[in-house]
Amino acid sequence: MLAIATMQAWACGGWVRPNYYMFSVFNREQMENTYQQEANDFWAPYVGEDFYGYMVEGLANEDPLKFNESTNGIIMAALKKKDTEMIAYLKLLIKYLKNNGAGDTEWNYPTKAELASRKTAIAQVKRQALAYKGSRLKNQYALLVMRCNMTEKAHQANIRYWTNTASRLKANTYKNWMKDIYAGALYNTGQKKKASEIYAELGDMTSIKYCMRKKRNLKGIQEEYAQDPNSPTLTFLVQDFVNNTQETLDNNSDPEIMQNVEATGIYQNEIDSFLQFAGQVLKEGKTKSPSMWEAARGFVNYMTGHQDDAIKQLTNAKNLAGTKRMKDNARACLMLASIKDAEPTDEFFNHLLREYKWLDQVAGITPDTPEGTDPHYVDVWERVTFDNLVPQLLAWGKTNTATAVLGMATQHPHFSDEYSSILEHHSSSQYEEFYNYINTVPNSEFEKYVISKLSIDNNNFNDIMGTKLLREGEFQAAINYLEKVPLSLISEQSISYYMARKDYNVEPWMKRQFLSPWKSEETQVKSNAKLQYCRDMLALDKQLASASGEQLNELLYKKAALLYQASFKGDCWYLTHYGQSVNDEQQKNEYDFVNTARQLLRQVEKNTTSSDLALKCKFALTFITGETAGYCFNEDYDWNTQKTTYTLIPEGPHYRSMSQLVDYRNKHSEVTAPYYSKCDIVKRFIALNK
Amino acid sequence: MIASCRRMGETVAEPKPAVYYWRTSFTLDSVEHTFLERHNVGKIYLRYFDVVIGDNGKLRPNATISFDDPIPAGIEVIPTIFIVNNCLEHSIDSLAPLLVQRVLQMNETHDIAGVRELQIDCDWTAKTQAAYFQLLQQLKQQLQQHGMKLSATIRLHQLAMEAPPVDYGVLMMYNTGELKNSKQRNPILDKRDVEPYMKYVAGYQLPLCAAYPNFGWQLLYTGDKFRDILYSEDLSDSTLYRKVANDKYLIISSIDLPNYLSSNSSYTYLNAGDSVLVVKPEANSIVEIHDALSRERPGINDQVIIYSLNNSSINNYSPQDYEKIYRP
Repeated sequence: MLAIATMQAWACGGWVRPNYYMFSVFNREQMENTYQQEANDFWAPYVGEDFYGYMVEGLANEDPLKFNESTNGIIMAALKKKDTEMIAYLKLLIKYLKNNGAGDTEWNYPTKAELASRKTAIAQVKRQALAYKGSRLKNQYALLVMRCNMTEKAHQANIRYWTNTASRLKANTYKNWMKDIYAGALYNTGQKKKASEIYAELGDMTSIKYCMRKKRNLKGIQEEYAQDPNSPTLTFLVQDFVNNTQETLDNNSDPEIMQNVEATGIYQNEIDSFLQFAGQVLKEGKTKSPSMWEAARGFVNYMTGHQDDAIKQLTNAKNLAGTKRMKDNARACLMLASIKDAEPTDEFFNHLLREYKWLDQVAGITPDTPEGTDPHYVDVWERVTFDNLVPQLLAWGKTNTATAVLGMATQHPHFSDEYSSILEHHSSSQYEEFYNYINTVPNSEFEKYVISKLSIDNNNFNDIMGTKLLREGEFQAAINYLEKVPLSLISEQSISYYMARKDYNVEPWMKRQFLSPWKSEETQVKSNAKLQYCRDMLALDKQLASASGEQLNELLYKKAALLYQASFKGDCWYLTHYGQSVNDEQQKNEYDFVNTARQLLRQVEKNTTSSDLALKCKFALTFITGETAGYCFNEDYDWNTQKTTYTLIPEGPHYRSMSQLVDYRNKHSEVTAPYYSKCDIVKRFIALNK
Repeated sequence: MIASCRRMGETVAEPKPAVYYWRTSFTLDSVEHTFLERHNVGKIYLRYFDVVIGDNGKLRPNATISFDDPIPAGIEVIPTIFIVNNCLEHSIDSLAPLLVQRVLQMNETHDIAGVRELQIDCDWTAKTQAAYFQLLQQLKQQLQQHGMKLSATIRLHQLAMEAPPVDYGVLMMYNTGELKNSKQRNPILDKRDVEPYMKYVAGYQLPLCAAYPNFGWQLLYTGDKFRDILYSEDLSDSTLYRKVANDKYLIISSIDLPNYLSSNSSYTYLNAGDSVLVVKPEANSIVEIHDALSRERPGINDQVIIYSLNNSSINNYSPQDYEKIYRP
């Protein structure tokens, strides 16, 4: 059941999730906009909660002589703290930023004097940076020295400065930045291999991709390995190979997609050779990172359907030597692989529990940081949960557990909310069953863990159950729940705006109750219209039970109006739904309010002796036909004349219904029917038929 | 005899063997120095910068050249600006003084003396013609105040249109074909692509000289579909490429390379199974077209410009070939 519901939810939500990379021994996200991020990391705690990234970029536009007038948060923070050391550094940094450009994209090309002045300024900045004797900003000043050298294209000077000075400074983000510049100097002086290794070690994706551009294949991996079995470039190349294998399989090697995702195609013969080569690397024992090689083998085997080998190798990789990230990588890949072909045993669920606890931790998903702290592992969480575990649980018939697992995902703002959508599609009995499931002692510790992340309080449960029952036409049962719903809960919901302003007693075809959704605001409601509606319907049914003749017809007409109002098409959709869209349609678990209203109207139209009531029924039926099957006009708007032209669609249910209505009215002109004579649709139909 | 057939103003004043220089930093190696000396090159048409539409929608200079070596003594520099055609769909009212001012400042800043001319390169079309001609007129006026002339490149398809308001044009005898048809015709220069335009050459209402290519292209194909141009890729690397014909290589291992057709710094992905076609006009073919042009319009080859001065292209032809191409 849930399988179908899930599929429906998928179709309704239209969520498309990328097939995130699992294999990550090299943190590819870390080095996007490297310098910017490193600078932000430094300034953010200094400035405090008012910090924004643009403040760093904006420093270049500041005037060191007018710091007191500055509105830049960084400068303001330094002034406020009376941090003279920082103010002096900022002035020097700004001097550098103002003088390091080549005027490439400005119309005002620098004069010879300006170029000379820039050159002098850069030399001065370098001199002053070298003269810094403090310790607090030592790395920042050292970085300024290296940036000045870079501007002067003094690559050898940078190599010397790094070797003799900067490499001995304390480790922090500025030191990494300096090392990156050092790698650039090596690259520019022909030491490309050494440069590549540093880029790989630092995780500088942009530079490493450039340096390794011809080696993103097995041959490149083999060459690098032959030169140095522990070359840092191998972490990039092996990861790239595994992920490119995934892209090739995912995209069926479509060259355009492959280009868009910046992947190179990896084909079966290369995969086979890679598996063989990785095995050989492990056998030789020269690598200090067997975990990476074994995990690479394991995950490639997983992707190509060799499940037994995959599980064996990934399990092994977890325990082999390597960095923490390599071991975590093996564990994450194993977690994913272990779901495929699993059996719903206690052992499996205990394994899942251990792994989710660990994954929540490495992804940094905690109640304090629900967004997580490591984007890669947040992606892993999503791929494992949505694309693997939930389908597996559904296949085992564990629909409530699957729903709860999806509910666990809602703690993370990044994930799509399939949970709400599935609950929305639940019948009242399915929903009640799920509610009971999460409120009883779970079968396994894993379920206990999942359920501990969810909560549906009693008020919400009563409101949702009552609404579901109302939607199913079970008015008495609905009352039992709705009675317990406090008005404060409804007033906090977005439907309160509509509930407070739209009256379900209005006949929908006589008066439309339009409200702008853009002006929507939570409104304190004075009564629960859902509850009152159920009571009114029960009272009406009671009256109907004893009514006959024209009174019965009048009451049935009233019931039809009430039913239509509560439908997804009615103005008072808030009675049965929490939101409305033009794409809404009759749901499987819903009482058919619209068709029942239509049947009642037809019955009254047929049985009544009153021309007045018969005309109203015909009018109502024509309205419902127009609203559900479409109106009998084509509309063309001319933008030049700003006029709309209508043409008739002479076939179709609305045209037939309109014709019958107009014929009946013509034959019964004695009926006073202002709603008919004032109706623009009727007028248009008559005019177009003349 | 030939001289007597020429009409006044048909050719370029003070013609000299010339080259285009189209890189972002001016630096010459020994191969390039030797080329300049061996062929008595007297003019370098030096790309100073491009004009593009910036992120803010305003026109801005881009890829400005840096001067890492001095201009060799005795060689005249003709600053050349490439204007991306879609810039002309924007407001260009203030563009002319900005261009002139920037060029003059670049000359001054880098001690480039004796500049007497500015050249504009633009693949203008009927749609942008009016704006382009207006810009050229403004430029001409501005340059006159500094005693400078104005020239422009002329692409073959532009021969059929009105001549731009400049002192002379350089007829570009390269990039004449379609990349999509490069398996049938040489997209750099093919007689069959030139022929339809020959009828316009003699009567073109502008003094003309001609520019010929010395470069080759490495064209990347997936199946029959053209994908990209590679830039000086080392196709002799047998770990990546297998030569399957004189001008064709098969990619045997997937790699990615910087993309030169794209304006951003993206990569081109070469998948195993793709092929690279090497295209380069034959020297004979260039000479044949050169001679045909001379017959149509005597004097057009009084000044020949080679595109471009670049050590990776220079060795595509022998010194003797260059002599034939430079011959009036």
